[in-house]
Amino acid sequence: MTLSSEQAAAALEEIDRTERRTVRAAGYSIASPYLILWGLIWIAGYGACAMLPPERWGLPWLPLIAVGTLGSVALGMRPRPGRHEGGAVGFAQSMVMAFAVCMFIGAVYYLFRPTSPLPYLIFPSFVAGLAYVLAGAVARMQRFVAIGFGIFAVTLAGYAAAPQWSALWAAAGGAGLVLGGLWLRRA
Amino acid sequence: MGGGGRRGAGARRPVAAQGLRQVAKPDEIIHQALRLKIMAALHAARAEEGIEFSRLKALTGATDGNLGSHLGTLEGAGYVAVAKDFVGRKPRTRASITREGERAFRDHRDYLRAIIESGG
Repeated sequence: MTLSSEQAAAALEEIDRTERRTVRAAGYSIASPYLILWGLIWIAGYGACAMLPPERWGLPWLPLIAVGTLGSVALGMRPRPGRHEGGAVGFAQSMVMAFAVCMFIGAVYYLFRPTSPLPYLIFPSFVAGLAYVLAGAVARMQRFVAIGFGIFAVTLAGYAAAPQWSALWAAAGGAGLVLGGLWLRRA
Repeated sequence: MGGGGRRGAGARRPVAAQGLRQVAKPDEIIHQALRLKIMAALHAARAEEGIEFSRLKALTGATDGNLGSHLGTLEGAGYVAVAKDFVGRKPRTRASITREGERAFRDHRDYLRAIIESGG
């Protein structure tokens, strides 16, 4: 068997494409349970907000965030073949990113001081959607981009159509995360 | 699950040092289109405990029969190890690349690169 340079180039391209696809599928598989976990927390938190007066919206979130953080730690500690210290580093990076996102949301509230309570509910969903879009674009993981746009679109469209149900639209964004997590599992 | 094969003795020299003449034989087992994809996927996932059959099928775009047959060829050559177990009551088949397979795959990829570098 003798190969031309065109055939060799085509074979190398196929190797690259398959390797990229494999690495991406492994990334989706790792991310999937985290999305499902945080989607459920998101649904519970915003579902509770839908039933509580605005001055009590903070109440459900503290325990839910604690549950989500502990759950994420537990997921990160699951034994996975081939993983060494990378899991701990990845978790630390995720925590730093989550902290930065919270700081950003707080700073925007401080700067613009919304006059109605509804933007307080909706804005974090927009930021979360944007974060998924950016993460997907940077890591070339198109499904994250689709999930981010999905969250953003559902929340914005719901807010525009029926702002009085903003908490439920935000909860629908959480449902989008759960569905996204299930979708990643099938990647 | 076995990491069956053996690593070749001594460190491998880079292709540029070996020259195309010394790696002039392609690996005909690996070069077949689907087997090349299978080996590329398993090589990319070599740090993991193999890839499940269904996922490998999706990654390579193969059919059940095709994938099984080509995995058999690669397993026969010592490049791939196939393990079967149960998750609960569900049977699971996983394939992983052996040391011998890793070496053969890298050599074949080096050969392809050398062809391009030498102008084919």
